[in-house]
Amino acid sequence: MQYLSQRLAAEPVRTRDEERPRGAIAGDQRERLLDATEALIAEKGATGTTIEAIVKEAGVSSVTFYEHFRGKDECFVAAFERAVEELRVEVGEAVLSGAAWSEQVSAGLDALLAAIDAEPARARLCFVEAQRGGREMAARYDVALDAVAALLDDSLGQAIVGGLAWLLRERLELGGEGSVRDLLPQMTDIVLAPGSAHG
Amino acid sequence: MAERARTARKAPSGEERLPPGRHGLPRELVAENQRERLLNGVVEAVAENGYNATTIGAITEAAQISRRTFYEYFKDKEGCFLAAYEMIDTHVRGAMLTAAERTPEPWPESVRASLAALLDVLSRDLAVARFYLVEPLAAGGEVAARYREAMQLLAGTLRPQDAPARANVEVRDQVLMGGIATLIVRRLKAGEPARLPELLPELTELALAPYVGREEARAAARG
Repeated sequence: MQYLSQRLAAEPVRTRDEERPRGAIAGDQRERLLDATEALIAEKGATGTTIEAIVKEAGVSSVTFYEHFRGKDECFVAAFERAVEELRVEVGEAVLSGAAWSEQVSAGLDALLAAIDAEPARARLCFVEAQRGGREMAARYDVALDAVAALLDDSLGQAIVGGLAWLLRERLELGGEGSVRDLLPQMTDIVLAPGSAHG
Repeated sequence: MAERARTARKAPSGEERLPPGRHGLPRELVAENQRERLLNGVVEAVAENGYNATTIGAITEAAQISRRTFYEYFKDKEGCFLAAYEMIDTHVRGAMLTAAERTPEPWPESVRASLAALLDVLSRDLAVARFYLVEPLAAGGEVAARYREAMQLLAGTLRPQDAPARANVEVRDQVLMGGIATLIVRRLKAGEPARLPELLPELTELALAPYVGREEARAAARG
């Protein structure tokens, strides 16, 4: 660019964000906020995570934060719901790969454990911190467990799913960085206990 | 002010208060009384505010005891919570063991009696039940560790004495306690402590199944 006149007449250089429709920018910001929330909750726990830290980590302003969420609890709930939805999709795909009920249970649990290993921060949010981030998140946690329990079609479904979630929480809190995959045979056995609805 | 003074004199939650001034009671008895009132205070305060939002001020107010006296007994909120937890845990497990001893044979019957005692104790007092099973989950730290230990001990009382030392006993215990706690906590959150005894068949089946199979467990659970 040689002349100032050319320069002034030139089309503005578009930033990546400007080329996108407005909704996509907002969507990105929301995703960034949820990514930041997930990472911070894993690191500092739900009670130790502040809005200030979330916006800093996400690289957005607190004004932007409040455009998306009314407050911290609502942001936690959104992060939890997103994480659960991702787990649900991954586990759901695996379940469909099995033909017999026992294969579906084992494939679904295997996918769940693999997802926990792959995304420890997400797992921590779902299984450990869900009960520490306010009443609404705790209520959503119960709803998520009930949805799984309904699939078992077992009179003890709620207790079995609650028990397995408890086991995973214990492992994630106390077991350090190690894999959770070794729990697969026992978890499968517990769901497929002889005499249960499908046994 | 006068109104405030009047309400302050009223004993919290119907608990006995010692008359003010020189009452000629031995020092240890006074101390025990103050300490017990603080323990009751922390249960009340946590029921109202949740563990995380409970302050020492809320505990001392519920107990009608000065902050200075609080610090004579406890270092901090967690210390007070743990002391109350200890007392509740001893009470709950004691009730279960007593019930099991009254019906030692056959083993499934003793498990059923023991679980009935657990549900009975918790159904009497929503604040105590929440304190024992709901709040520690939100608390974390030392409190959660103590809770974890309590649940392990509780699972131990439900295991047959001659259970073979199986490698997976720890996993089984955790899933069992998780299942039991889940069902109880759901009822508590719904504000239905009085309906806890209805859970007895489910809890019994859950506890027996790993050792006798689902069919036999179900039969024993329905009594």
